Amino acid sequence: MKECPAFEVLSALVDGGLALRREAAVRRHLEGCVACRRQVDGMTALKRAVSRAHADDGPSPALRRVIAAKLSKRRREP
Amino acid sequence: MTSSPVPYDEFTEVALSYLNQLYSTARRLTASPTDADDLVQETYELAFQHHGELRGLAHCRGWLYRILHRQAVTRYRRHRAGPQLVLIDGSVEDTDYRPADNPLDGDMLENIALQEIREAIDALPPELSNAVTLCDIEGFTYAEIADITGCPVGTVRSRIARARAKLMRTLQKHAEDCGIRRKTS
Repeated sequence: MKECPAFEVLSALVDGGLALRREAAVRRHLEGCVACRRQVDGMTALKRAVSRAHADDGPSPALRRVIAAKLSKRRREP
Repeated sequence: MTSSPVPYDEFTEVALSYLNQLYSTARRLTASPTDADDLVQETYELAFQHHGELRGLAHCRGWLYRILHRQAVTRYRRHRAGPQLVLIDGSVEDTDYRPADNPLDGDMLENIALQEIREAIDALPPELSNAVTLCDIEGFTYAEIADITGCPVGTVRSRIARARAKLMRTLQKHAEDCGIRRKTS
């Protein structure tokens, strides 16, 4: 692979979203291309950061109660 | 081979274990906690009604997310005139793939506050933030995200790449403005 892969392809590589043959070709390209390697390293770090930044804002107690009530009502129905 | 329907009690136990995750996704898809409450409630009502269609508890999580997203699109279309819900059907997509000219590395990203990263995610167009969070936070594969959102896999791949390009640029600018890294000339 002489030309650098598209950014979209490098992004899919980070997610394991490429077919095996394509992935192998892109990885061979990365061995000799510092610019693409930096993009992949940056996206790998970004993926971790997005996962870390996840705000676990849980549902309100009221919503839990509403759903539990609907659930028990359906259980009682024949 | 067809599998038999999941018993209702087993289904509800597993379905309710995803309440927190579904709510977090609903918050990203809607503009307020009240809208998120309504969306999650509608999702569970539909899931309880149609649980007989679910074939195997292993599919339960993806099935619930699919209902949630379809319901979010329905709500958006119903309230299109109002400001309460954010756009998630991607009717006008931007096509900017331009990556950061000097991408941040892991150490620099560690120095950026989580709140800044959250704000950068929230500032993305909804169809992009939706795709990248389903991938990076919820851990779905491209094929699963395509199934959940009703888009081709190629669209999912493209949205995730565009989300990352935008996030990289935003966070790079933030890092330069805050002196975490020097401005590129």
